Amino acid sequence: MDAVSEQRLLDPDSLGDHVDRLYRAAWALCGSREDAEDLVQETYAKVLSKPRFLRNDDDLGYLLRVLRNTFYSSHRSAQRRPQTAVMPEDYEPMDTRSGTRPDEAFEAREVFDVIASLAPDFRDALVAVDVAGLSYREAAKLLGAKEATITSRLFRARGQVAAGMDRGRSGVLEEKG
Amino acid sequence: MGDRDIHPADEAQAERGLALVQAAVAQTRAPLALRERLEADRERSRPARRRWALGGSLVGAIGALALALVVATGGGTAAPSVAEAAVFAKLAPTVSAPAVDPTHPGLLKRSVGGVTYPSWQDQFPWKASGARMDKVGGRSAVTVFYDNPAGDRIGYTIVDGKALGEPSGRTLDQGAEHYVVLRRGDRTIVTWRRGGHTCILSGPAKVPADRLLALASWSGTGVA
Repeated sequence: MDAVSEQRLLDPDSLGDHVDRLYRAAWALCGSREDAEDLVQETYAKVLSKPRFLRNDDDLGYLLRVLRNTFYSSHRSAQRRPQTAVMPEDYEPMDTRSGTRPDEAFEAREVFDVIASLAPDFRDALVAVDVAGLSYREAAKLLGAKEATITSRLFRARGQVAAGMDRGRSGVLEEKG
Repeated sequence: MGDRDIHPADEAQAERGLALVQAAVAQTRAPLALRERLEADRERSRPARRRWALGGSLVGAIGALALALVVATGGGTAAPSVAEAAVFAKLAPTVSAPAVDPTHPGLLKRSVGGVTYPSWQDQFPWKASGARMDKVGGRSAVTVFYDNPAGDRIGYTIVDGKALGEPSGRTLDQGAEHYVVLRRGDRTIVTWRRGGHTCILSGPAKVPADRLLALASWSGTGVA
């Protein structure tokens, strides 16, 4: 009975509850707010394209799985496409409706930049646990790794974020080798 | 990675990294423009979703079968069961915990249908740690999570609307309150009615049923 009752239809009306967490996770994966918005929208579009039945997964874990898969597939596609021009480094569009102070937004942007520059294994563990709020067990399931591995990656990822904030992005990139 | 392998400097650096990430997370919310785009997409997808509900696709048919099985086994969206509503306590919080009501320290500033969630932290080692909002059978269900220092987490769910059917299980009457204790998988569940609504306290099996009953029946705030 439990196995049947735990299979449930994902309620599209509840998706809005997770948008903040998914947006943060997307930003930490992409390193760009604009790309993060597109990634979240693409993720929701995929989820809404047909009914989704979840067994054991909670909504957030499932959405994060779709988001991560979408990120990696988009990333691979983007690598095959010609690169488009990027905004200058000092271009900083303000979302006047976000309610975040500019200095806070700047620091958050730096942190997300550093996270996005981490090696994928470290970045994914940190995004799953510290950014999206999954438990170690949920993160291990999402990433197909043991909990001990998640713990180890998380520890190193956190250290690299601190180092990256101290030394700038190039410092983090050096540690990836 | 054993503790003895961790250099104190590395540990301090990791803690600092965690604090930086937590600060960035705390100050970052999805832009309103994105929310509006998502809402527009959701509205556009409604007609298609209605078609699935009628069984217009294979997946829809499988879903209908699954739902029929749920109904046949005591669940169903029309009349949700306590077991279905108790599932939310196993999921992760999606929002921060409600604050303690400063004028009534035994209560949190969150209620459903006039039933207010308790703040046990002055009496028991359980502190509100988060919350989530869900729907079951078209009804709102709000779950507040409480953590203890051992890292255990329990969820207190109140389902809005008419009380759900009483499940079978061990019963206990205490004063005017009637409690039912049941096990579902690795969870212990205590359910009772308050203010005409169903309240559900669900915790991992390692949290004894008596502990959940003590929390459920606590009325230190004067709440019946």
